Amino acid sequence: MSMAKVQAVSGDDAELEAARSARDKRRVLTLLMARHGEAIYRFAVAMTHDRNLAEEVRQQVFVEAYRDLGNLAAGSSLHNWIFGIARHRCLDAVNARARWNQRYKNPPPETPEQADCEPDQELDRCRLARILAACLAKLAPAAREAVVLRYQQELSYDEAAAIAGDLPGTLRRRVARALPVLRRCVQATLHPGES
Amino acid sequence: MSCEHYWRDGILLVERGEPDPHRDTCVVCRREHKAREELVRALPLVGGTGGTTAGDLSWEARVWRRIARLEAPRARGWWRLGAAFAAACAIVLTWWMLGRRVQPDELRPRIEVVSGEVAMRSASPRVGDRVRIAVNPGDEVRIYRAGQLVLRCPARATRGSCVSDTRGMVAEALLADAGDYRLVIITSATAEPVGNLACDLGAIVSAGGEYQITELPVR
Repeated sequence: MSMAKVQAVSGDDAELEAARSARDKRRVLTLLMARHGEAIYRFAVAMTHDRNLAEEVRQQVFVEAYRDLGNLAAGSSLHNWIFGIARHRCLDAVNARARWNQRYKNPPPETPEQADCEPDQELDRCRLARILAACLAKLAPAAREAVVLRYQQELSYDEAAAIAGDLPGTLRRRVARALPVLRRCVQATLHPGES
Repeated sequence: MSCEHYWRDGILLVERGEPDPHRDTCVVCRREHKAREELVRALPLVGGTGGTTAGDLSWEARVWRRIARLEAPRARGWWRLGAAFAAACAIVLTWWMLGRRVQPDELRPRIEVVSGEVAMRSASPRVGDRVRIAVNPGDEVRIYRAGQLVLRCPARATRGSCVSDTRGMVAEALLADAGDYRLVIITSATAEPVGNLACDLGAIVSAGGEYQITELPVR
């Protein structure tokens, strides 16, 4: 997490905690959406490889957050909590889509989810991100989740482990096994002729 | 030139934040490490939005609408719960009111003809049936056949065919012979009977008493 991001989060934390202490659910949700809405969406896109599904997941996450906000233990991390909800909804969505495709014999989407690039981004990195999005979709859900939490969301292993409900060491091993797979997938896409 | 070390073992050291002495001496591993760094730097861009607002522009409004929809059924739910409660109350009240009504067994005076084991209210009793007369407390029962007294149960009597309790008295008699029976229920104090229907009714009237008479022809 960058320094600027940390400072922004700290500033938001005070406002969020004040709203939370005042039991102002609407205010808390408004702040949560402003603070985590885009991150949740990006997480959901990376997990589901489908922007429409990701949008549905994002909205569902915040509806559930509003519903369950009163049950959240005081002092617990809102960030981890909301990402925990997002993780479950993503896994549900991916499983539901797989069941649907299996039942109706739909082929998996052939067009990989495209990452939109900012104008000032390096073209190579942007292209790499597009390829990575498609390669991530080929990983097992647990491996994809570990990689996305650690490197797309830029969380520490401890934070990612708190969200995924696993040990940090388990996530490290998953990431260490997934990165070579991603690397090979990227290589195969960039240089199709090479084995 | 290739080296399997990096993607097999070196990468776990990197994830653990531990030093990898081998990499310092291996050109291939340094190159692969650089490739990994490229990969990791590109990962935050996955699911990126190109600098615009991510996804549906009005997603927050949609969330609020969904929350409003969730809360609206809850309000309807309370209304339904209230209606169900009111209906339950109405049922209980009706049941209670019906319970408060006098049950047929408690109607008095009441005359039944019992045929065998079945209580039967019949206009054509037969010989061998039994007549059962239930009266209020303080009432007297007399049964006459062919104008002659065959059974008398004074008020609150408990002997033979007369049984009294807090609800009143029940007199029961066997209709042993065919003929015209007269069932007389006297609702106020009166003189002792002489055994003849006409005389006894006259005595009741003379004493200022009241009576109710029912004809019961038995075949």
